[in-house]
Amino acid sequence: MLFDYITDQEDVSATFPQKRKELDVVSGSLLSFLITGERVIYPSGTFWISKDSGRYSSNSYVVYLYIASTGEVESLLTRENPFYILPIEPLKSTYAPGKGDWTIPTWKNTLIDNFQNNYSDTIRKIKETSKLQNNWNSYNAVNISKTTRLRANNFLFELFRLLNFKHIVLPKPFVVACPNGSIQFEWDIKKKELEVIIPYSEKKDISFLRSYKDDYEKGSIKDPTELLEYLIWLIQNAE
Amino acid sequence: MSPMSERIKNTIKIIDVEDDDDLYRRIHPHFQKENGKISSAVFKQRNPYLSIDVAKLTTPEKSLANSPDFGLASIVTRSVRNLSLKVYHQPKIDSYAHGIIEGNITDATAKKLTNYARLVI
Repeated sequence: MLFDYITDQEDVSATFPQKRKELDVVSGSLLSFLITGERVIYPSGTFWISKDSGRYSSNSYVVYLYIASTGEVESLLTRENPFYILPIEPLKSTYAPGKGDWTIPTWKNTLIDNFQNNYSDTIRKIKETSKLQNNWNSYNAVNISKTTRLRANNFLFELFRLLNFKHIVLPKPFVVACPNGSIQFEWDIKKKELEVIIPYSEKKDISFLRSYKDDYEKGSIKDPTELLEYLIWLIQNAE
Repeated sequence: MSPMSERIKNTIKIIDVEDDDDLYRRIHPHFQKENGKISSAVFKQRNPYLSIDVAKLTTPEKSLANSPDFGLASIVTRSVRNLSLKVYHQPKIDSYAHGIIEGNITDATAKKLTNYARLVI
């Protein structure tokens, strides 16, 4: 996946394994605690983000972590991602509590913030599929895994981002869990309908179904950009 | 047919599901949209078949007895068979009205089934 989009503190903790030297491309939560300067607690202890953290290149950050329990500083370098444009100027600085005067450089990614703010209901509905336990539909449906939910979040963000570049607003989809553990996004605008299925397995392609009256078109995609024409069809010139 | 089903068949009367018979499918609240429509995921399968209740052998209330918060969709058997799917009565120990929709239910087929269905509850 292009990036690991995290939606809550628990997920943030889970993405900082102690010995890793690289991170997947910057997540919303990483930016969040870069902005707030909050202390982050994760299973192996407490760490603060060092004042030396900051932009490494135009497409990546480097984060230096001071680990309280060992006194060590670990560096985590985000991978370059040509699809992810990071803002240039820092907006504000803040200080971490407790350990001297660490200065935490901050950046604000308006794209992620816009997505989080404007699609909060959709993000919440994806997360709520975690509450569906086995046999939730009374016909032996299985639950929705965390990785499937994350992939669904990521995919939706990518659609939002791609349309945003074209100055098009992504309509909010209806989110539904499928009995086989997949997540389905549905758009229904006047007589035009589009379904996109995020499969329960990463090995399967994302599939879609476009329908208009009695006309149906089914396909599969490997990249979100392949769906753009269908979304534009859905949105524009609706009856 | 499984041995259990074979024994059931021999002791319980299996009825023919006629084209005009209604079929019930339970709808989890999660599938219900704000505009009153239901998601096509209602008719998506995990098994090689879809379970239904043959309406003439039960009541809406009985179909929902174990799922009181669910809705109920009804679809005419003819509509299902017109999609090249098979429909037949297959009683279970705990549900005499139980039946099967069998066949390759693609995403488009599930969508069509949804369009043909009507909400009972």
